[in-house]
Amino acid sequence: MFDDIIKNKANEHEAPVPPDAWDNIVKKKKKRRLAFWWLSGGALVLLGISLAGYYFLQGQEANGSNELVTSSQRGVELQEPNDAGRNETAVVEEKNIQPEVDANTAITSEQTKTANDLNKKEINTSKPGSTTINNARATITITNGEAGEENKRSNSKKKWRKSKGRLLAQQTSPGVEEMAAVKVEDNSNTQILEETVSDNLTMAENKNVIALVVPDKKAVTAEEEKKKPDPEKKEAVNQNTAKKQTPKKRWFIEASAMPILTSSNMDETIVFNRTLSAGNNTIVYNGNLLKTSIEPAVAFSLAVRKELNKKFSMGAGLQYLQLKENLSIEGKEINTTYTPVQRLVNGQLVPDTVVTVSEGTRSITAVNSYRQFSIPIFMQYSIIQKKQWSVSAVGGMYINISSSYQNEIDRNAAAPLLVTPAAENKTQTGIDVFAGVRIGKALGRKVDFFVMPSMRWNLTKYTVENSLLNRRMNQAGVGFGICYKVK
Amino acid sequence: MTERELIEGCINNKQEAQKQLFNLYAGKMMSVCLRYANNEALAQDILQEGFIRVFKSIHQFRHQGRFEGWLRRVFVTVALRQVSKQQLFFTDAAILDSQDHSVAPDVVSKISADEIHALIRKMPDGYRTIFNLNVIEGYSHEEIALMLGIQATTSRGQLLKARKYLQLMIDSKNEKIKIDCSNKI
Repeated sequence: MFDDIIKNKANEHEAPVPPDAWDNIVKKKKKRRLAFWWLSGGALVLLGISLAGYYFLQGQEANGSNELVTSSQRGVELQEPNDAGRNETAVVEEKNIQPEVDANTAITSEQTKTANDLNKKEINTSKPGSTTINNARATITITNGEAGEENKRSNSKKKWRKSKGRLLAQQTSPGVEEMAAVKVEDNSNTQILEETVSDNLTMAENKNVIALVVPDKKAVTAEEEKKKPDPEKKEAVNQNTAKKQTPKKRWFIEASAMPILTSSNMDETIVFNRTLSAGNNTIVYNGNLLKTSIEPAVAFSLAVRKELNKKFSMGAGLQYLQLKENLSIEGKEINTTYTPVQRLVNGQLVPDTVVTVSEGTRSITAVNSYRQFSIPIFMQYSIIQKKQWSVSAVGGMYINISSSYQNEIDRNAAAPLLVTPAAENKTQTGIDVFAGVRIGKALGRKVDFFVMPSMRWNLTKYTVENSLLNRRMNQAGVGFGICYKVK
Repeated sequence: MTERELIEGCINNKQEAQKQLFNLYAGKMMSVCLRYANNEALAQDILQEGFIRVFKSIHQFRHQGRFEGWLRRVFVTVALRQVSKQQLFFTDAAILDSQDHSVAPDVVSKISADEIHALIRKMPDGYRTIFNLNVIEGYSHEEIALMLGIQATTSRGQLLKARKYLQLMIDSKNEKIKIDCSNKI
């Protein structure tokens, strides 16, 4: 009864309303609308900057690549299948060939040689007169015929793998241009050639030179690379986040996944040289790193965060990231073979030497796989804190504690070029900094969902031994995660 | 303009309708805000925040009950959020007379709504909040416990004390009136 009377009277009651109440409501509504647009604008600007930065870095890389492409194209132009050019080449390169050629045995050949087609042991029998030589390690395909059209070249795909461990390469060879008029007296010459090349490749185990050459720096041979010691491990920075906190401050556990786009910026041009030489056969390959692109990836993080005061909080955690990088190397390959033959002059057999020079462009694409563990240490500043949602600025650093390669190379197929087994390479890789905006939405009393667009800048160049991945890599991404309030 | 039309206008974000709705219910809602807030400034904040919230979520009202009831619930939610930002202490106020008090219904009936409102506002924060939620808004102790993050037993205890406190205040007010009247005679 008492309660009912009180209830009725309280519900009937009307209190005087401040005269400016309505105006304040209208103002607040406008202010919030503005705040929303500011925030959206800010997020867009941040995203724009991130993307612009990414494309700018990509653009820089592409510019560098264009120069290389141009020079490479020049090389291709020289090899255009026009007869005049072919004859000139023959004149220049085939000094030792006797001018008189037996019409019955002379072969104008276009030869496609891929001395290191180690992955595919294929037999090319598509054209009459083609010869395929297989040995335990390599496939050499010599195709005789009138081929030479550009489109045929572009259709020819070959796999090529090279490694001083870390490079898994797939070669797309547009074919090798014609080279020389070869005088072959009988089928045994083909056999000789087979044996020669086969021997070469066996001997190549001892004589090949595989090097990643940075201009003005000495080339590194395969053996030197093997002996090269691991870089000294840097001291991990010990961040003690468990500082004294007042007992009222809350703890949070955060798990997130962040799709990222990575831009890489190499500060040096990489030239790729390889020479295989044995007996009377030499294969020289000079390539430039045309283009590298790192595939979009997802970084997974787990972190603990603690409130320092009403506005600031600090956290630390662990992040795992796996990157895959596609490399494209393009260059010129020259294969020179000196074949002893006997020529019939005035009814007598005279010993002579046929020099066969094959020249062509070779494109190589490779995939590098790279795994990385980092410790993110960050500060979070609360800009807007509402019951249902919040906006914070986040910044900090990533201490990259470990990076490694997963060896994807088929060891049997890669031999003999692969001299030593490529074990997993672990290296400490320095420090990155990052900044972002975090927008949180309460899902319950203890759980928040958050979205965090952020940008990560690579301060210390990634230096993984024997890898083409040595460069700066910046990352732009948007993280999605769940935050759980522990206390 | 009928209440339904007003609501439709608010859903369509028409400022005229919003202003009319505000004028219609601002007094009662201000009363709600003052009952939960321990000062006028906070009450004004709750009022503004409450109406912004109402305009934002008015489309959720399904015309299945009284609109005023729905409005009150929204305001109570907003008020509790605002109040909970400040620490709410559930302490025992000094009650002078420990004996049970029961105020006669006719005595309470004679007290005006303004006076009742003023008496409720004089209660300590903890008592007042529980009393408002249980007696006036009709929430159960379990619901209150959930809303405030306390035990249901705490809510029950606080309500008993709040009721006694209010009865004492009404009693003392009644005594005062009696004394005043006798002095006049």
